[in-house]
Parts: sequence; C-alpha cells; structure tokens
Amino acid sequence: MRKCNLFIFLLVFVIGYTQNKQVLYDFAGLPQTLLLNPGAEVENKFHVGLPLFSQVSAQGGFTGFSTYDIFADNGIDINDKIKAAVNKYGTAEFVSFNQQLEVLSGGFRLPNNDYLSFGFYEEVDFLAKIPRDMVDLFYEGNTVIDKRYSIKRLTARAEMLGVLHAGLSKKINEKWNVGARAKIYSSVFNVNTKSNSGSFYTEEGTNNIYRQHLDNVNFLMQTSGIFFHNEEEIDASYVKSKLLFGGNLGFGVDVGFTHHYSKQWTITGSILDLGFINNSKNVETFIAKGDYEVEGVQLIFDSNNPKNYWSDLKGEFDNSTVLDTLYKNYISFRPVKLNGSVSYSFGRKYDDCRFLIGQGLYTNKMGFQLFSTVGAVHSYLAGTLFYERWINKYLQAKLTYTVDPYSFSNVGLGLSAKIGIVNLYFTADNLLSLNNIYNAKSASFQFGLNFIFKNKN
Amino acid sequence: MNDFNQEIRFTSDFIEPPIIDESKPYLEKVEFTVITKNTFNRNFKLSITFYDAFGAPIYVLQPIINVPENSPELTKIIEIPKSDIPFIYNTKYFGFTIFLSPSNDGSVISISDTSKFDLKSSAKLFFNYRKI
Repeated sequence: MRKCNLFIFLLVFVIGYTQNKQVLYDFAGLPQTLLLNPGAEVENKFHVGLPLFSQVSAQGGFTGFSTYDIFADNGIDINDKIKAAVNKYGTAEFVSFNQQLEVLSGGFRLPNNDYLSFGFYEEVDFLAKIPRDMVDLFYEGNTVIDKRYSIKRLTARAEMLGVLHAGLSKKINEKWNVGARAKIYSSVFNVNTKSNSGSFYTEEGTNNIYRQHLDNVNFLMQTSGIFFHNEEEIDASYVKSKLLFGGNLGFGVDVGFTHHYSKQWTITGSILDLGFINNSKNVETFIAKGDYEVEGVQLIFDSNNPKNYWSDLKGEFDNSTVLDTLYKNYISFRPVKLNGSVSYSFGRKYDDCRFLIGQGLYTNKMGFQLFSTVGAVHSYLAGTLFYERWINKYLQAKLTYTVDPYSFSNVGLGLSAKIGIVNLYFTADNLLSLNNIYNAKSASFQFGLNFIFKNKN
Repeated sequence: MNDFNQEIRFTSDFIEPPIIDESKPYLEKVEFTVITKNTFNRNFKLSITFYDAFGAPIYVLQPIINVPENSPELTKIIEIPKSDIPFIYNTKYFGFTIFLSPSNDGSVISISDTSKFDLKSSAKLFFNYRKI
C-alpha cells in the first residue's frame, strides 16, 4: 500500500535544522559568534575569514523517527518497522534542514574601540510540520470510515537567500557590551503554507456505498521564485544573480548583549533575524477552499440522453470549491531566533598560569544556554548545558549537552585552534550517535577558517 | 423500459474517468465492490467492460455478476489481478451493462410494476510505493 514513498521523503532530510548552533554560540571568541550574538565580545584588532570557508554549516532533523528505526538489519520485517514508526508518530512531527555558507567575512576595530564586522552568507532553510492525519491517509488510504483526516496542523516553509550584513559590537563599560547587526536579504525562492484548516473523510453513503466529504477546507500556499512565466533559465548564474540582490529583497536586524553580572558570572542574549522579505518577483499564491460531498456517480442508463458523468462531477466540484491562483506580492517573515546564556567562569587566572593564552581571565567556563525559534510555521525550544576550557594556549574546547524536541541525549563538541593568525574551528553535535549515525534524529556541524589579528598588548 | 414502455433485454451506461498514468508503477490491485438488491421476479446480470479510445472492448470484469430474482442485498467483490492492471491504463471509459433474463412464464415487466433493482458500487485502489 502507500508506504515507502513518504518515509523516503522524510528520511532524506535526516541531516539538519533548527539553526541551534549551541556549540558555536559564545565559543572561544570566534568571529562567527558575532553572527549568533552581535553583542558578543571579541578581542580582535581585525579578522578576515577564508572566503567560502569561514563558516560552512548544515543542520537538520526529523522528530518522527530515525533512519535506523526503518532500515535496521535486526531481523524484523520492514513493513512491521514502518507500521511501528507510524504507530508512534505524534500528532504532528516536523522535518527540517538548514544550511549556511559564509562567502565573505571580515571585521576590524574602529578608533573608538567598537568592533565592526560584516560579510555575506548564503542560506537554505526548510521546515515542514506534517500532521499524523496526513501520514495515516498516505499509509492506510481512506479505508477507515468516518475518520477525519485534517490538514489543520500542516505548515511548511522553504527558502533560499543571500544575506549581506554589517554589525557593531560596542563596549559600554566593564559590565556591558551591546551590539546590533543590519541585514539585507535577497531571496532566490520562498514557499510557505500555514493556518490551513479542513478535513477529508468518508462515510457510509445512502445512494451509493460511500460518501466522500471535503469539510471546510481552507488551504493557502504562497510562493515566489518557484514558478516562471518567461523563458528564464534556472542555472547557477541565475541563482548567483538572485543571491546577489537580484532576488526579492528584504531587511532584518539582530541585536544582542553581553553582561558581566560579576567577575565570574556572565549573561548573554540575542534576538536574530527580526526581518521580512517583500516577495514581488515570480509570485504565485495557491488557494483551495470550500466544502464538497459526493456519493460517486449515479448512473441513469438512459441511452437517449447520455451524460458525461465525470465532467458533471468536476463541474459540481468546481462550483462548490474555490481553486485559485493569485499573483499578488506578499511579505514573508524570517523565523526569529532567540539565544540566551548564563555562565560561570573559574579556574586558574592567566597571570598565575603557565600558559600565555591571553584570552579572558579563567581557563574554565560552564553554564546554561537557551535557544528558541519563533515562527508562524513552527516554534522550537532547546536547552544546553556546556563546559568550555582552554586545553592549552592554542586550543579551546567546548562540550555541550542539549535537550531539544529531537532528543534528550544530544552531546556536542567544539574545538577551536589558533596558531599565529590562523584560526581553525570545528563543531558538531549528536556525537553519541556517531557509532550509528542512522539512529540519530538530528545532526549538525559547522567548521571554518579565519585569520585573526589581535592587538599586541 | 423503452420509450414505448416495452421491456428491454439490456441497457448500458458509460463513464469516462481520467486515469492518471503516474500511478501506474504503484497500482497493485483494484477491488470492485458491487451491492445489489432485486425485488423483481426476474434474474439480472451485470457486466462491467473496459473500452479503449477506439471504443473497442479490451477487458471484461470477471465473473459477470448474477443477480437472482427477488434477492436481498448481495455484496460481490471482484478483484482485478496485478497481471490485468495494464488494461486499466489503456481504458478510455467503463461500460456498465445490465442484462434482463427472460422470465420462466413468458411474462414481461410492465410500467405499473413497482419492483426495484438497486445497484451500488465502489472501487478500491491498492498502491504499493516500494519503488523509489
């Protein structure tokens, strides 16, 4: 029956989302931490990222089940495993993918000691919340009489965009550091659907065996850059031109702060992507709404008056429902990301230490981070415990334990090495699943190469 | 009955549903369910025939359904096996033909006869999406 396709569709997304970069956040004074908190403290004189390699990031996941749940070689019939996965599927599960590629990254300290950072990155973001009703309908068909298959929880968004940004990190005093970043978005494509309602169900008929219902259906999907009415060729140069301000344009801001509550306690926070995109090019919005019920075709066996039953049925359907395409501009909002942390630094002070690592006063830092996305499609919350330490004067490490909708056992690790002006970093999570990556419901990594110049003093 | 209220031996009707080729690799089985009720004291036979775009019959659903005289509600399920699925995709329209068997005593149905022949049907399609 209707089995494997949906699962394959879901499983291919088992690498990336949520945009929670819990390992990278506030880690090692990396320039990239400014993208997660424009109010983060950096001690650079200036920095420049290796073009295309200063940050490569991919994240993703699916909350429903893992690849291993379906394809494990454990002697259980795959159909039984699919059935078990469907049975434990929640009311609605979400699948997501996010990828970022920093094309350009740089920054320098201004004469007034503020730090100006800027750059350009490309991002692909996909998120879909799939209601159980749709999985059931796909898996078992409409075989269950009177069961309502609702699209109420069906929401999705997908977009690809280029982001040009510039931000300022400003030290107010010894306790406060604040920052803000302005962003110009250039969208290659955008698709979103939300606030859908309505259901489909089948009941015993009166004049025929079954009666099918579409009940109060209200579906809307907005798209830009997906459907084309001219001869535009979709190739690499097209994507490049759209990323570089030839697409649908928008504007956004990030704000953040770092507050030293005491010498050892630090609080940070940021709000990212408070912004919108005005979708005006290649825009199409699809609408479906209405009620409809049908008991099939009532054959009348009148050879003198032959009927085109199917055409009549279609006409009835068209009269009862609205299927429309609009070409109207629309505004799409970026999913807002919230970060926060409380940390406690401890351990030997630099001055007392045999390492001359010149970064902060303490060798250890531990604390708690919160991450949340707030969006029309889906909101998400994750909590992270972390421990960060200077291993030696060249190397810093951060260990994280994260609880999020994917898992209660997400352990991540970040390493940042700096030799001379060269900084190389790598972060990844879900390390406990490394021995069986197929059992992970989510995974993410970031890596990059920077050249960081510090003040000689 | 015909226009002159005379008994006719058979009558047909046709339906032309769109058949979506994309489902072809995945359609595993088709199950027709036919529910009949006959209060006439005459036997009926019901035949479902598939016709191609040229109007030629290419497949007849087997077995032909026999509806006995004065029969209560009867349910008959007929399966189109996988080997016969390709016929569906060559089908342009389906024909339903009802045959009226002659009476044993030579009587015919009159316009005043209040007997009824009820026919309900449905089709269940079984897909298997194992192909990727």
